[in-house]
Amino acid sequence: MKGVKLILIALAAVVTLTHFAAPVMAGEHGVHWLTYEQGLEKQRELKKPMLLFFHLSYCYRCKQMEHKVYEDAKVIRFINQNFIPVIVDLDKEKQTAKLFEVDYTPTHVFIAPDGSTALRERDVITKSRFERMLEYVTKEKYKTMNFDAYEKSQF
Amino acid sequence: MKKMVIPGLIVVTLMLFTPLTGWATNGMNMIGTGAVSAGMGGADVAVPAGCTAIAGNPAQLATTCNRVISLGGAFLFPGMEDTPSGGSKTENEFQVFPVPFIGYAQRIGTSRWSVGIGAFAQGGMGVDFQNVEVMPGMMPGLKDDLMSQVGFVRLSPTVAYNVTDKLTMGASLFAGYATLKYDFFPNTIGHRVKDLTSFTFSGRFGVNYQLNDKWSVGATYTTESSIDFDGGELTTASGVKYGDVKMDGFTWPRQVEAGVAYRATPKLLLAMDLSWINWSSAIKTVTVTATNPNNAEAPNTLNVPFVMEWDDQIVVAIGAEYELTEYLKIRTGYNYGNSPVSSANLSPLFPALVEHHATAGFTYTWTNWDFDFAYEHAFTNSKTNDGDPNPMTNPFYGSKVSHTMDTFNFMVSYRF
Repeated sequence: MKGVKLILIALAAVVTLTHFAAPVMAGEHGVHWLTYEQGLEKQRELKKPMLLFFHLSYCYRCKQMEHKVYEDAKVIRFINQNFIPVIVDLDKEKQTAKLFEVDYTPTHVFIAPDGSTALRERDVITKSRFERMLEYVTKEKYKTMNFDAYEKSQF
Repeated sequence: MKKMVIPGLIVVTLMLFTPLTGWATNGMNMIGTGAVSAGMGGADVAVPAGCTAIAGNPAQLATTCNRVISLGGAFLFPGMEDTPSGGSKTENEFQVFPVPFIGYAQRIGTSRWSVGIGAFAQGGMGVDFQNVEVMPGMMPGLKDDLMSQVGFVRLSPTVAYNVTDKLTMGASLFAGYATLKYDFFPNTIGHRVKDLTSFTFSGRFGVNYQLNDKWSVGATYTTESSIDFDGGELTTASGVKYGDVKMDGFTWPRQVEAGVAYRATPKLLLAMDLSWINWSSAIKTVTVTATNPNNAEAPNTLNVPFVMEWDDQIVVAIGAEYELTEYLKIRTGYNYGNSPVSSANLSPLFPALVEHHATAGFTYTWTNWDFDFAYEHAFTNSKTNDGDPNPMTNPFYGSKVSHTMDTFNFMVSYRF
């Protein structure tokens, strides 16, 4: 049992240290999320692509996506500068979910400034892949190739 | 006819899985089901899980966002030694026990309900000692075999509900199927029992609460499964066959678990579980009763009591998971559970002795696929029977038994 006690003490020390040493999440203000109606209005005004993030408040993998991607300072900055970010709760905004035929969380839909769907992806997306998606849409590569081809061209 | 289909499927599924069960190492329980849990030393009560929540904390099934199917298993390599008092050491014959897992889970639409179903090996044990010296102090030179195999599989429909964004609850119904056979010096002074089977039902209730972004806590309660073996056959060393054999007093224990998980950094998850397994109520004196002999001169009824009197078990499981890259998570864990077997009632037929386990594993994610692997090492533990020295009531007095084990876990999951 002595070994167990030592491990418990070590574990407590790690928890304490990591608690105090944990970095403050970058991007204090986060992504400037809008509702779908607000986003539509903004898109008409700014002619930027729209990023729709479909989630559920009780969806574990959506929270994973939020922590791993939407709390990254670089991602936050890029989205706020180049996109109209819209968050849709499937439980509360059933009409919007129906409009985009979304029944899976998390789902991302990128809408080009002309209203067409530029890209659509389900499930948690890794940060590096998500960054390539953001570039793909902002560089309007969807006009000439699909995302798989674009990804291959990046390697 | 329709009424027979579902029970029939349950029976067939369980029977297909049972021959593949084997040694487990928290008493007769696996330390964790699935390579993710095993990699973290079995610390999984407050850790999000996919399909394996069916065999763990059912509340964690609520972390299944859409649909997921998992297929996997473990290969158990036990190592045992038996040294009878005044005799020489016998090593266990080489054995590999494959322990399968299959599960499916999904959220119902975008509702707060998740459901799943899975079949998995809850545990078991088995030994195979050949040419062991039979009480060398009394019968020098006499050798015979000791073999046992207990398998217990469960088919589990599970449901989970997101009560709030932070609180989830779940419940599993366990339809269990157990098999047992053993050889107790079958060619010299003992007997052989085979084909004992039993169906049983039990349940598990689980809860998980996300305190904040970093901390979550969980707990489970599992009810007892009374396993009434029957339908077996007993053959004595003298060749008498008993056609009706049953075994009473064998129960899979109730269990209480509590766990905590701590997201130390965005990439590091720490978890710890504490479990209480009530073996002392479950395994006391197990009695084999054999009737209907094929020889009129043989006793009509044979009673064979195995005094086991197992102790309760406290299990501490500690695990860590680190996200090395976007695609690769590595894990390590430690699990301690005091052996429920007391020295006074130690038997090489049922030597659940290992206490300390070290584990390591990883998950590689590729698109919608997860590939999990874990390795467990159960460190050697030995005990010597120091009970009643009367060989008629305690044939294993003075026997020293050692037990170790290596386990390799694999799992593939697909989300769709």
